[in-house]
Amino acid sequence: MSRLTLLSLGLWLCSPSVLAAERIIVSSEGDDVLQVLQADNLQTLRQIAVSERPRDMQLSSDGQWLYVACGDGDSIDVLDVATLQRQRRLHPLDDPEMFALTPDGSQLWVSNEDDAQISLLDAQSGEVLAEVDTGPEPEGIVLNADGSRAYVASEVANMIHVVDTAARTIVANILVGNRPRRMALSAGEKELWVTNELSGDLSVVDLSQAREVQRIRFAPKGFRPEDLGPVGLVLSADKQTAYVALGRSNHIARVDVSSRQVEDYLLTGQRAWGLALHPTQPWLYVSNGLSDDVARVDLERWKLVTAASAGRTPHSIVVLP
Amino acid sequence: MTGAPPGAPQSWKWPGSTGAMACTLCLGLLLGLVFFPPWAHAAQLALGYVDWQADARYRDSHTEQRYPQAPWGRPLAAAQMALDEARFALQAQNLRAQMEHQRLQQSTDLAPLLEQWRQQNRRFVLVDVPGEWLHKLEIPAGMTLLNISAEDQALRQSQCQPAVLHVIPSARQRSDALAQHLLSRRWRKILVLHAQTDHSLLQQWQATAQRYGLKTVATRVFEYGNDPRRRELNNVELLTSGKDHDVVMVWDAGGEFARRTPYATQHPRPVAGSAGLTARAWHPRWERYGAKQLNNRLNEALDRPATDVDWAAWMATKAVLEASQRSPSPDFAARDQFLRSQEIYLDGFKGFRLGFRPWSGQLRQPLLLATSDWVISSAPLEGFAHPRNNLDTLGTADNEGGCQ
Repeated sequence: MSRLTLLSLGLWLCSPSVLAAERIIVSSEGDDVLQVLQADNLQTLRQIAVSERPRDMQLSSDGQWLYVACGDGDSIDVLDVATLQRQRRLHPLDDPEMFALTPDGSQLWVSNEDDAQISLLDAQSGEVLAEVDTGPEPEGIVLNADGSRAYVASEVANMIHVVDTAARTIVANILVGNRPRRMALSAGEKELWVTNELSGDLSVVDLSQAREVQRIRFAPKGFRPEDLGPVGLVLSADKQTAYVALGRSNHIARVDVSSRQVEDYLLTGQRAWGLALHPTQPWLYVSNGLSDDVARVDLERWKLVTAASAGRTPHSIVVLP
Repeated sequence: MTGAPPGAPQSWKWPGSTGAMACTLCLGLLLGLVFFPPWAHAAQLALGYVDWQADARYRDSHTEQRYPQAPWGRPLAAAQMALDEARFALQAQNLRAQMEHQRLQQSTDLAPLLEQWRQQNRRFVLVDVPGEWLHKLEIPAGMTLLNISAEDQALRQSQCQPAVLHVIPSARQRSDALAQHLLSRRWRKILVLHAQTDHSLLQQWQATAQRYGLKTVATRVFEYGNDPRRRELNNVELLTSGKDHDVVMVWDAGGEFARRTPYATQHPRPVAGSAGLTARAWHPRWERYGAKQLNNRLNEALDRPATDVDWAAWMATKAVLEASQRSPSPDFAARDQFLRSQEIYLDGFKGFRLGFRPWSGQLRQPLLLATSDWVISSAPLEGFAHPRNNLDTLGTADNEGGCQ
């Protein structure tokens, strides 16, 4: 490659129009790296080494920091988004799996998979400020908008714990389906939607009543109910549409939130788990853990546009600002 | 009445002074607490766990050999771990669960113990005893036993009792799982070695081979020993020579002969059955479907790696807990019905939803096809389908004789 080409390429890559929401990051559980891919054609741009078994990732609300939970490395690595360099590690932590940042970004709540608890950490120092016991295998954890409540799914107790974050105690336990994994809050935070991997459905929880009010069942063609494994769940920005990744049935589903009707399915890849919506384009990214790839779906055409390899066992996806 | 407007309801006046009234109230409250404590309103679940002091499978000399499908130690701690895990969920549902363990001296003690437990309303009982103890066992009505270690096929068929549910896989489920793997590889010609006394394992293999269309090229008896005068019976090379075959299938319940067969055969052929590639209910290195977390917890509870019988003890306890949590009412009949229903979702960390077969009481489940240190594949394999439930490609069908 000539120097001129190299220079042009370098300048082009650095230009703001290219960088803004044009890259996605995927955590590769099996390779202990983060893959940086181009947002449109999913070409691999570079890899960033992190601690062992990276899974959940969250951006700070100002878009400056990327937090990565590394389960086997017992740490949460913090990367500077501008340079994608690791700035610090919150370490040692007990097998962190998923986590949620508080609205002001100063703290985070982490689920400790092996210890049946969640911990509150200082986001700067990693100091453990509080611990709350939960049912076994807590995974999904979500905070409400003002940070006063944390919702945690205990996979083995089949329940959602509602935690008062100020008092640091559980204020309600809600029995849902079997093996609840991930959650999302509806418009106005009236409902909590929960994917149940083993019962193959989605629980709609009414938060004011603190109980499950409906189960949404899925039926992609050619799959029995016991073959489904819903895990990933995201709501559109206007909260009108929910997208659910159906695990081993290799499909995603589109659900209309107000009618709670499943509108359509789409085949994406083997063991579809992770989901991420592009902030400005009508694109949905899906990580397929067992075909080691990430797919990009055009939501307007409801079509899989492209898929590309993303390291061993891709887990979570974040669109870089 | 003074001061009351006409037509207004008459006001009552309690007898005695305010002080006396207060005392009465306090006394009433105290008595109420004594006779109706808040925790008495919690629903109860009483479980039993029974095993045998002199059980040969648990002698140190046997467990330390760590045969692939044999127990590696007593599984009681795994059952207790299942109770611990559920503590939170039970509390949230106001349900109290408790397990009593009895280690018996002889088989004749089992029926009286069950009778005693039935009187105490201890109706769900995990049994870790040799299969023969369950043949024609007198089980009181209104009880369910969960068999966690006896693989005997007869218990699921000719000797089937409706009161007994089987969590540990049957011999047929194991051989069917192996057959699926062999068939998927197109290794169809099988040379079978079996112990003189091992008719049941051989019989199950023959039924499996017929169902899956595998060709048994020879069936030979082996015996333990080194006597050169009996080398046609104890020498692995001789036993595996003569006939063209793809796989050597060794059925050896004891395990001692089978484990020295891999790589000792006449021809370079994989060994399967009781050694080499074995079909397991569980494997200590199984990591998928959240198994890594379960293995972490089991290892800690048992202080050793967990195998089939440990998983079965844990699974049986979990099954009863799940049924009790989701049952519409706390009485035994409702819980038992839900436990056996096709609506229950049991998570065995093997990727499929589990449940009990009505015709045999057998827990339908995936089986892991493994070497000593890794799981190579899990049955039902891709492509093996069944009209109702793919897990029913493993084990006896509903028309093969059972409890119905």
